[in-house]
Amino acid sequence: MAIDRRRSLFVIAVALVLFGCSTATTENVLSIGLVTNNVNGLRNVEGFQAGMAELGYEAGTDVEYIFANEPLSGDRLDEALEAMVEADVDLIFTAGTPTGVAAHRITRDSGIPVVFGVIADPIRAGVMEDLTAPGGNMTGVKLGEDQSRRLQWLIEIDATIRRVLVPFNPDDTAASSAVSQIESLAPGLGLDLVLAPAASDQAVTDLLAAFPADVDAMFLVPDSVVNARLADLIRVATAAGLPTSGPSIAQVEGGAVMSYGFVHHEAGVQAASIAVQILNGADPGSVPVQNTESFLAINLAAAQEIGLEIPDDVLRQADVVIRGG
Amino acid sequence: MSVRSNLAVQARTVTQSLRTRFMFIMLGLAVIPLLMLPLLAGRNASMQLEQQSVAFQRQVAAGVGSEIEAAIVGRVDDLEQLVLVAHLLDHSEDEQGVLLNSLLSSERMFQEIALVDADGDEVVRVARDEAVLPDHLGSRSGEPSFERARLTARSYFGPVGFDHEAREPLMTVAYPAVDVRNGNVPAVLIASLRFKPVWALLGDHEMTAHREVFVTNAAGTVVGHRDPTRVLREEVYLQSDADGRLPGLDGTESVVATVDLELGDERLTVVAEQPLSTALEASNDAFIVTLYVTAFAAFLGVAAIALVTRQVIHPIEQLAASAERVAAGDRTERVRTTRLDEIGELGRAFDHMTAELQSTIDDLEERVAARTFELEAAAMGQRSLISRLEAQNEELASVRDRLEELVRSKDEFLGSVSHELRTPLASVLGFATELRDNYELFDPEEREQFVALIAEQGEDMAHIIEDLLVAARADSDGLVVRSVPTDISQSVESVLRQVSGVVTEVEVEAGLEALADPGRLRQILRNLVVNARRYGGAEVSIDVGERSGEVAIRVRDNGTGLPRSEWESIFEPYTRSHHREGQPASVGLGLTVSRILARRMGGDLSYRHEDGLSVFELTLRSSRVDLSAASVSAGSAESDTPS
Repeated sequence: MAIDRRRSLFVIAVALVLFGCSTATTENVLSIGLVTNNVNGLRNVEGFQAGMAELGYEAGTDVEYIFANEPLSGDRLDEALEAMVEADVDLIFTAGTPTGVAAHRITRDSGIPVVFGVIADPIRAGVMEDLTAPGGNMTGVKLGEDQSRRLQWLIEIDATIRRVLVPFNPDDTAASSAVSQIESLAPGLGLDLVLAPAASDQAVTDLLAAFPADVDAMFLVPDSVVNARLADLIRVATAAGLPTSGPSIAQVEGGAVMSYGFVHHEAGVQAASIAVQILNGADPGSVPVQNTESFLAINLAAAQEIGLEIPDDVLRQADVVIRGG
Repeated sequence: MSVRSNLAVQARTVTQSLRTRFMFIMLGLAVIPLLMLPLLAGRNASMQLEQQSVAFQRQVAAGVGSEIEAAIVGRVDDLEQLVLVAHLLDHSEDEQGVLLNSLLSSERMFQEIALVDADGDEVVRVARDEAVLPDHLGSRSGEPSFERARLTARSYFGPVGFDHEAREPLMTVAYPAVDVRNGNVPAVLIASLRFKPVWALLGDHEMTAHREVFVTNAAGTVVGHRDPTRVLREEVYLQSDADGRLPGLDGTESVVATVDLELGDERLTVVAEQPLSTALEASNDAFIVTLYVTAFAAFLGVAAIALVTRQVIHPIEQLAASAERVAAGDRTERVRTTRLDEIGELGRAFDHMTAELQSTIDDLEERVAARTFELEAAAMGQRSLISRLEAQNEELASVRDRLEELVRSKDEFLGSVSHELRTPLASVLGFATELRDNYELFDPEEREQFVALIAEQGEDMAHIIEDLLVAARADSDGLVVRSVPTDISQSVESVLRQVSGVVTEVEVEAGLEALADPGRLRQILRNLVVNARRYGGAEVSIDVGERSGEVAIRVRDNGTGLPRSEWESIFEPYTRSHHREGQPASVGLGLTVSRILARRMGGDLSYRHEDGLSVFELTLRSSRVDLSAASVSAGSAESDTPS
């Protein structure tokens, strides 16, 4: 009996020591919802996840993502966001203005922070009133107001450009915002803007059918309706020998000659840094909205296809150069 | 005893207990130092770790500072390169624009670059996010960046401020294009540097080690932080003169180190801080591990101490208990230890001592028992002696009492004898004197009466004297009594003739003989008849019978008789059962002598009272049984019995 008691005490003591020596801590695995309404937004999402991983939040270990792995829109988009609210996720990342707007509507009373990457113009989109102190539960990355600079890059690429076709959906705030950035500037650059409103896909079709012949270039703005017909627009513009400028590298990859604007992936990475600030305790309403980084992208193949010679100095300044073949 | 006294006594008992002192000593020597070790080591390690952390924070701050400085100064160097290497001032405005754009594009830290002439007017300006048209150019005259650079001919580093259009903090720097020949500043390159890369740099440090690295300006305002909100809030961090354990930016006790960056006239401070708990986490963890290990070791130590103490003290307690039991009398008590250590030796020594003690005590007990037996025997002898002495004392007391009784009886006897003899003697003397003196006065008949009275009184005196002589000779064994065949009837008749008028009835078988001394027989009968006459009733009878070889002569009277308690005592010498008033007092020897004589003759004399009659029964041996036994009792003197 005495021996058994001693043995029991020893075992208990060892267990206490081992328990006390244990430095294992239970880590909380975060839950983050990802949602986008467009195909290019998938790149944003990818960039966001990469940025989170770079900042120490490995998927599966530190964070679990709730993601449909496809663009969502309409009711499906709302349902996905509502499900995230129901699941009380730690944060929601949205890519695309419509997604951001929907997230604002569905989550503003939930207390769940939302980081957008990207909303073209959050104020015009109605998700906030102050970019420096957004208030509410949303902050993130907006498109930089670099449309005028892009227009300037366009003429630096091709100094012969005088008339620029600008198809856009006037109902798209991002598009409207972009147009407003260049409208007043264009004359100063010696350019005439040919604004071509296209509020629907049919309107784009009609535009394509009646493509203006007296334009020297096409300037695409952030516009989900118009950019959904990128291939057709590129085809027509290329056939017309017109250089196309796109708002992002996606358009360059799609055949536009140049773009000066955000890179979807990089925008997601940029949004990740904001998300980490919030996850570390920052109040999303106090985190100022950032502008996306602007990158100069040149598609030499597209330029060559229309016989455009890109100046070397411009080419050297390009962040991305797509060479055909 | 009061409760306090009880507690005091108990406290003293506990403190003086060997177990208590042993444990305290062991605890003091082993466990306490063991417990002190992690405290001291942990404290020392904590201090060292804190110092190391401060050094590391300083290193981090220096590293960040270097990077920041390199980034910022590097950009100014880029501007310098434009002027000195690219000969910016020698190009046309368009070319200058291209050059500036190239720099802007190649170095993302530039947000905007402007070439300003000596008057402060912008000649060329390029911006990252906007197209700058000629009519957008303005004047920088009056701006510190231009003025300071132009006046000092040194690079200018301006404060960091948040640009709402760029949505990020910007820092203005200026590089004066100095004419080396005359020292003039014909132009100044003014650039807006993006501080956002600094945020990223600061954020990297924070993410890796829970370290906070931020930048403050000379006023202590946070101008660079991974959390832009803190910059926007223009938080102020009051720096200390020395690095070390200081409040952090949010007030948490932290390990803080600072490095100053001198950028022209602008001083920035890089602050690296780490929460003290994190900085000392390794030490704390080590301390906790050490503490647990120490606690475990202390637990084992205490357990070992308790075990050792028990192994040492418990046997001692058992030994003490065994000693108590031995002292209480259980000499079979043994410790019976199997230990091989000193405790075992002590136990075996105890057992040996106890065995020897038992043996000694057993031996002593035997000797004591033997001695006790002897003493008891002696005591018994003494007691026997004492008993004998006591018996002797009792006998002596009895003899004394008897002597006293005898003395008293003697006195009584002498008194009785004198009285008994005086009476008849007085009668004899009186009658004799009367006859002598007045012989002639009495007639012959009166003279015969006088003579008869004198003779009778003389016979009484003779009988009394005879009894006395018998009694005396009986005590000295000088009494001779014959036992010859004697005719009883004749003896009875003889007595009746002597003592006439007493017996009213006689029943004697003629010719019945018994072995007796005739003279003594007549003496006995005479005593019995005289007693009956004196003390018995009016009717006295004598009957003689023979039975079983004995001849019984019974003298009965109808007197009151004697109580049974006196039936034997009346045969004691000088014992008188009663004294009838008017009757002369007897000496008290008659029955005594009669019994003596009866027993000398081989018979006996007894008394009983039955059927209202006192019966004196003399039993003699019948001569028919032993006619040949004509014995003579012991003694040298002849019988003096008168015939």
